[in-house]
Amino acid sequence: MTRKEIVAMLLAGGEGKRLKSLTKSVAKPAVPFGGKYRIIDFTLSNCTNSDIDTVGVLTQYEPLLLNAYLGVGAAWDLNRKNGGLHILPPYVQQQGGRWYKGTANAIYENITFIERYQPEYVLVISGDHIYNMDYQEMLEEHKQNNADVTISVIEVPWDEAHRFGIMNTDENDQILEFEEKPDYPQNNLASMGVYIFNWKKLKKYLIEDEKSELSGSDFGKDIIPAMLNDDCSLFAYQFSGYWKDVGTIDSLWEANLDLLNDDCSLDLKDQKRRLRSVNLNLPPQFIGDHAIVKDSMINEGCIVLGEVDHSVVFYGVEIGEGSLIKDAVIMPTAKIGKNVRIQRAVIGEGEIIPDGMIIGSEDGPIELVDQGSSYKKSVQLYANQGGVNRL
Amino acid sequence: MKDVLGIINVTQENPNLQALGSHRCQASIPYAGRYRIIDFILSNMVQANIRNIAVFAPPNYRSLLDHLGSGKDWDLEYKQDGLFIFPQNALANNNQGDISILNQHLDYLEKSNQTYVLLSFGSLIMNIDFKGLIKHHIHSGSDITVLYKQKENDDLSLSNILLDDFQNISSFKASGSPHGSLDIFVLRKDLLIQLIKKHAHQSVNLLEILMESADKYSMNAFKFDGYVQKIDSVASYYQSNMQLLESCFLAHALFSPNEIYSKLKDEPPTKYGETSKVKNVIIANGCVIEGEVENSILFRGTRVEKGAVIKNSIVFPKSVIGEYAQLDGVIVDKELAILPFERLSGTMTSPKVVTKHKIIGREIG
Repeated sequence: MTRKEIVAMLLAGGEGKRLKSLTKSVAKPAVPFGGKYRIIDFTLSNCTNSDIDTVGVLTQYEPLLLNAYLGVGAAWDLNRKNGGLHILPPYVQQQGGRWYKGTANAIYENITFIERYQPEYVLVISGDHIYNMDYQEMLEEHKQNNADVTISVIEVPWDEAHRFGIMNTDENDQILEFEEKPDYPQNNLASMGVYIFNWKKLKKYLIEDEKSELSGSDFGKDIIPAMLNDDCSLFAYQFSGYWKDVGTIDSLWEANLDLLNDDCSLDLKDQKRRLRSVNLNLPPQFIGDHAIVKDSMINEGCIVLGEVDHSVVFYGVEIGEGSLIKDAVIMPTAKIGKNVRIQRAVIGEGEIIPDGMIIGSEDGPIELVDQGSSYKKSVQLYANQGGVNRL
Repeated sequence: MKDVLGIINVTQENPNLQALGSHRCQASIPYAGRYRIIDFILSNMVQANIRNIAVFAPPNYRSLLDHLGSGKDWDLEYKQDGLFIFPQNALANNNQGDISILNQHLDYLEKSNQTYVLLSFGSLIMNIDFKGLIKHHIHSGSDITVLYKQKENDDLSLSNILLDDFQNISSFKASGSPHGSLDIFVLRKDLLIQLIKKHAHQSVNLLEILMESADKYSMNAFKFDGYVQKIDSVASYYQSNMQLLESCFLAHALFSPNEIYSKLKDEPPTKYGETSKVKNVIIANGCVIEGEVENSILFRGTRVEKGAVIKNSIVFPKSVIGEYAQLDGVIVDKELAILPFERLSGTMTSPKVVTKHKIIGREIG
């Protein structure tokens, strides 16, 4: 096995409960995003674009679709003879089998995988964030600072800082303190959940952490505080660019529509740092004679006969005549009938919306229509609230 | 159908299509928004579970190699068999006919394990279940089976075949026959090898030899009822693309029963700006539309600037249509920039083709 300078460990086992029924049968990293992609495409493309060719993907929750999507990693050029993409689910040993107890435990259970490549550094990332980043630049800083750990941070608005894990740093970006969701934040640098560790150091802490029965085996809650406590050298790497944790239906909706904004710093067409994904073989999109399409993103295989305004439409969607789709996200292969009105909504994968339905309103909350919520049920449910009515 | 070997013989270029392919071969002329002409026959073969496919390429084969690559996107990447592309020996004289080219690669045919060969020529746009044709050939017991269609009015692009009551072909040069050969043949591999060897040192094309074989071998015909278009001129190319816009039905016929594979690219979805106005269009991924597009086909990565108006036109990949430019009845080649305020127009029978300058090596067509 050739030695690798750095190995990436991608945490993709999250359930993403706040995404409600969208993650009923898929793991959060496999949730569709941006008209074409799945959330995990962003981190996997980042690895490839950062010349990191050895990636362990830690799966646990609902892995079927995720495994099928990842395959052998060919879509991200990660089907390599040496290294490449490896799916690492929890496994059984002679002492018995167990689920990953937490993020740190998931890495602990795969120490043997990492050791095969004898890396100097380990990059720990999470498969549910949207951003385009060069991990090599971060690694350079990590080396220059002679750090044990480097944590990527992003400036967030002060009034939102209480929602994040906040790093309190000195003038050299050395991390002095880490506060998870502080009531009174002293800083506005939020952790992006991207860590570079010196492998030897991390391994030591993982083994120690495993011995402690009180530990929750979590990077943010256990490993990082323990390292800070021991005066390890932790540095913050300041990232400027688009970064979003699409943890809720609202933020998923918002992040999709962000892409329509010309000022959005996330460039899906970036030629140098190409965003890769599994490309489906679908015919081009057809926009009909009476269609109106503006300020929107539409993918292959769609047939649009109605009006689409300020919306993101995934592949294989059909939109019938006389229908209006506004400020909405229509997930793959949904079929929208005629004279339907959808506003401020997320329509789940493969949903069938019958003729004449009204979903959402101009200034109402973001509606989610998805199989998990069972369409018929949701019609009744929302009908009472005035969210969905028949014309 | 693992016992069938596929041959796509595109060695012969049609001079009438020169305008669309001065820097690319005709098999790789873009079609229907994201395909190349060869994708149709190739996908039909793959969907009939033919796993060993040889493409005999024309002299200008670079664009074809770039498009097909390892064959991965057509699911033709196998350890054994798969996709084989045979470029022409640069020293060979192309005027000698393609038999000499096939003869150069006879070892490939001899070494392959398949018993039958499905052989196709030229630029056909169709979606067909080849399994039916192959089964018919095996059951009929004839030496050679030819695919044909009922001709619509005066279609000169297909050679006339004369059929008896048992669908046997007696001649390929029957004037006034309602049956046109699609130049797709099924025969035993050893018969093909025999024919190639016999004529190896003559200046002759394989298609001619097959067409003259009706008196020597038993030849049966198999009818195809679906949509088929032979691309043999710029006008027929343009019209058949425009037909796709006329009815959803036709587009549907083109994309079923078989999925048509093409080279896959990491293009984002197409983005429509605030000022975009589109109607009756086929648009591939990776485009940015700020202007107006009507009755047109845009390939991957096209950019339509504000105020530009495109009507009845076909734009090949990655071209930019400048602000307030006006195109009507135009075919724009790949990676071109149409300057702002430029006005170009053509007609249904004579579309205007804007081609790239012939800068060799500038770009892969």
